Amino acid sequence: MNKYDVIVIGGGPAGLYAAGAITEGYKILVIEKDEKIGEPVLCAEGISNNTLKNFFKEDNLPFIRNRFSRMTVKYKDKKATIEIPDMELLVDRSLFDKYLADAAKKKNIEILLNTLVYDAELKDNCVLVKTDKQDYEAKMVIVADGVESYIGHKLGLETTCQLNDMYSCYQYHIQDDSINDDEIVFDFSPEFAPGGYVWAFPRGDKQANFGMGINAEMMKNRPVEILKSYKEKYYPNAKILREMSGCVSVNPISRIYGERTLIVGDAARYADPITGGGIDNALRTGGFAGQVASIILQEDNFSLKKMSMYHELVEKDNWYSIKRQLQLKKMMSEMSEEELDKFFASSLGLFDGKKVFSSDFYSTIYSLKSTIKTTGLLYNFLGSLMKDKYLLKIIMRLLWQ
Amino acid sequence: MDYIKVDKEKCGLCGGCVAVCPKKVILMHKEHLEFTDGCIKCDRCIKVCPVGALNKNE
Repeated sequence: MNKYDVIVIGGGPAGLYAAGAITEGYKILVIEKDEKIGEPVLCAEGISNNTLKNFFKEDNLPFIRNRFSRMTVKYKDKKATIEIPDMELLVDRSLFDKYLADAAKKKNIEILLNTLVYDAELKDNCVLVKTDKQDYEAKMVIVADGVESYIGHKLGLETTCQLNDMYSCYQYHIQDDSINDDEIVFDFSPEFAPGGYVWAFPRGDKQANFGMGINAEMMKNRPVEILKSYKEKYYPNAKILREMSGCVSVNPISRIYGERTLIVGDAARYADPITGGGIDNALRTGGFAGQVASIILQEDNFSLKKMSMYHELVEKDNWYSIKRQLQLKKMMSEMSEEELDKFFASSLGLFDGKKVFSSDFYSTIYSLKSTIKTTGLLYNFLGSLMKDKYLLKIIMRLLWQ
Repeated sequence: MDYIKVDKEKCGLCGGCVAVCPKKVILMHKEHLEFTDGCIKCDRCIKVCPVGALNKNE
């Protein structure tokens, strides 16, 4: 029969993790449009070590691509290098997604590949999920269809992304002798990536995910063109192994639940507003959606009020840092070039050559508490690059309490 | 004739156009984009595309 307790629409990290987080014993189906879980990869693949520790307890995780210990931030002719031991790493997204899918399969979750969900409709006691193969019925759906966030719209939620919250991206997978496997590089020079940045994330073996994201509202030339000229300037001899386009949206949608519906991950626009990183929040929101779905199924109560528990849990978990980072993103996008020059000059000056620990931030911030908020922004900004949520929390508590 | 023309060679199927479309008239298949009825000609999909694969059909 085509009836399920939960149908998860989209087999990326958010959807697979959500499915796996539902108590065993229910009939769960994940529907993925592509032929293979984890492919094609449209991702820069950076995650924080904290994310890894929070969500994966096993040793010898098969999807870790490379660990690195230095971060270089560039702005025009200035740059700063910071030691960030054990803070960030690169995953192999293909293996990462497969790992989550295998975990889900072990819990008897069905995964249906090569099937496109083109519509979903709320009925009296179920959601009708329409695919290009056949229709399905579910008591509730978890929508994880990524940046498009198409199905949420069909179910009556406002999922449209404003241009100002959208980053238009292009990425090469390159190989070059100049790549330092131990160093992650960000370049915020506005001449290349207005409102965004250029990145080089080391994959190991002198390879990198090298790309850029430009704020769609501020974009004059397309990233595909600018990345090409940036490469000619800074990595002239690099060999391009693969290229891909992508889009990253930030600024969570106003309501991430609806009748018999929970929206997770990129579809809920839960990406880091400064870095654009989406995996951490995909797992966070996915985990909460799974928890809430378990309660709803157990109590057999599909009321809107029960669904809203999910929104509450997500906001309690992470909303504080997302909200502050959105403020920072807004302030940065409104800065004139002169103001940006000052912002980055101070930012890079503060951090160059330092080894950064959470405790340093604590004492420094404490002494700076009475000074202008700009300093706080600098820390917020760099904390965000280091993807250390714990650090960010401390910083923001101190600055905005 | 559709208002938008897609250059299939360029399109990387990243979903950005679908994300910004206020009417969600673009459906992303595994290997192509489909434009359904209801386009309000806001041109946001053209604007956001990282590779310039979308243009007005003139």
